[in-house]
Amino acid sequence: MFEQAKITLKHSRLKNFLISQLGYTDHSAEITISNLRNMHPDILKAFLSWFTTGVLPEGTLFGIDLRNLIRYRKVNPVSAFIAVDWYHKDPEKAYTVLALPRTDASNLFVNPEDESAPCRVRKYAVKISDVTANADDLTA
Amino acid sequence: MALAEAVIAVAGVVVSALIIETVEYIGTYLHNCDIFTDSQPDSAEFAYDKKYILKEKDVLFVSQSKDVLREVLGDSPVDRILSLKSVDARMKVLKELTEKLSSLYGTEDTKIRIIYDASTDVCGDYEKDKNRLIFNAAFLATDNPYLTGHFLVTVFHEFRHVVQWKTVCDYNDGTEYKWCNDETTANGFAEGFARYISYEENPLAYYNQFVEVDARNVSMAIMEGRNNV
Repeated sequence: MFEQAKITLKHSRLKNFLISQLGYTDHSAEITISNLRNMHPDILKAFLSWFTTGVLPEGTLFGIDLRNLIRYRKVNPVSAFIAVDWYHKDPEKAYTVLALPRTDASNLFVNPEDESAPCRVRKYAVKISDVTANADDLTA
Repeated sequence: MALAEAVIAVAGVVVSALIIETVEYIGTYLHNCDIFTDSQPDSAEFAYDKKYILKEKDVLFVSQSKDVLREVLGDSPVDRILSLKSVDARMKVLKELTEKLSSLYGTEDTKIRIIYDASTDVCGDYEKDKNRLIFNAAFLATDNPYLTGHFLVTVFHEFRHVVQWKTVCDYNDGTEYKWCNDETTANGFAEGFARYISYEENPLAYYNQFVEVDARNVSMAIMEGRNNV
């Protein structure tokens, strides 16, 4: 009795979103749209649902928790859906990229111009002199 | 004398404890168990495209890079790093390695910045606009051979990006660069940088673009047989 509604997303609308909202270049937007087009139908459906409602799917999608992927890998939701599709089609290769430390650091520094240290850096070494300063406390 | 020995002994314990604590922290911060909820593939090796063909100068590049690696860290570089029980000592070795690689590649003008940030999953980066390499020493501060091996792969991976960019710049200037194979490669790198897609934008496209494929395969070729993880 009830027919499932179809969601259609215009190429121009999606491209404009990628460029103006997410800062993609023209080239990366086109490549990304091409990837989105070739996604598994269920993943595409979830992506379109997110695009129109702003709500990510609950739980996991093809073995990946999207919310955690976005949170811990700092990718945007569009990239996250592509990652899910990639993991579904080529799990070994996708896993090596998604599960390993990264070599692309677009957002590494809180303040890129600060040559002294990013805000998140901790001192890495305990200097011998510091320990010496506390030696009396340790031995007292 | 007894006090000095006690201080040194305490220092040793404190610095070693720093590494152990960091292992536990880094062991969880990648959050893979939170992201991948199904059973994961057994292999999590850094992907190596075995069909990638190294050109003539790349073969020499790999061979001489391996020589530098052996000179600094011996035949088992991961074991060598893990045998150093302070982050300071590991940083000294990293400094020696990067200086020798800079000399080999003719990239002495590239700045190298070492940070320590255990809150990020980023191991290294090359900022070509600033001609600056960045390495995250948090990955050196563990007793995890897997992460340590991955850090070394990253060092060579990022240096390869420096070489790629220098290939483009010198080719455009008409300057001969000893590691430039040919015009096709220089143009491939140039286009790759001009149309670069970041991991954040699209991890699949990032992985498949030429400059990443080249850096990945060259760095893995250098570490092959040397990474005893």
